[in-house]
Amino acid sequence: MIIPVIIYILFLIVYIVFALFAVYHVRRFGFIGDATRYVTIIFVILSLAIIIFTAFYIFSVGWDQSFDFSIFGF
Amino acid sequence: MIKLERRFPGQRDEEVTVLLARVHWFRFLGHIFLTLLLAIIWFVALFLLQAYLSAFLTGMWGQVFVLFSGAYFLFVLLFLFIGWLNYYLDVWIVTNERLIDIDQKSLFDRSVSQLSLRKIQNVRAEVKGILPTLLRFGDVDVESAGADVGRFSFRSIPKPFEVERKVLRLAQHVSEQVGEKEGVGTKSSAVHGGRNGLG
Repeated sequence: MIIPVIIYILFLIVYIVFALFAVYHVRRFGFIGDATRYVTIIFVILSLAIIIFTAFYIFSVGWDQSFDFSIFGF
Repeated sequence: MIKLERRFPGQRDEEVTVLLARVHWFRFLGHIFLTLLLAIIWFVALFLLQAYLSAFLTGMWGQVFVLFSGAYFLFVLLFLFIGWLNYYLDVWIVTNERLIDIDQKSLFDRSVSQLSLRKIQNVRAEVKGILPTLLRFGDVDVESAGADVGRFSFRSIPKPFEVERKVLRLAQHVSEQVGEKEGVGTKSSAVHGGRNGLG
């Protein structure tokens, strides 16, 4: 069941687009000698950390199982 | 006049930045609390799932939950970053030539207003309320001579009375310079200042 991974990847694409817009905006309209550079670096590092962690997770587990609806009492 | 090292987009070569004011950090606390709340919601959800539906955290559902958690935290991170961006890039700049109001409303919504120091007629600072008084932030209103700008406002900025003094001094200085160039002998200036609230 690869669908959750596909949905996650689609979310990731949208996220990266918005993140790039935000970083571009900060770089263009931020001020030299200000905190914009450091905050942008922290944001990028944290984003990459989460994305890399989830990427490792996606490749480390199998996605060929099906959903077990019996846990909800069905 | 102190020349700040910061330079802003559109700054002229001979222009000196005298002051750069932002909204007081207190106004950003709401956004920080909202971000923390979003993060706490995830922990609460995890706790409830472990307590009442622990089977949800195993198998395929558990794997999906991990992916969802990654996406959720990315969303929270972006929410915080954009909120910070809207707060931090919303500035008022006072130079030796003009006042600039950069209003960052949202990620794709930004406006810039300028007012020449020569057009300033009145500067007024106001601190209203208990928290603004204790934390020393308030508003500064600058009235201009022209009808195109009208009133130029600094909202919820730190040390508003100090900003008022600086803007007033700069405006009077420019007014005197203009007077000298036009051959006016008197040093009197039509620029007035005013205060409202505890100084």
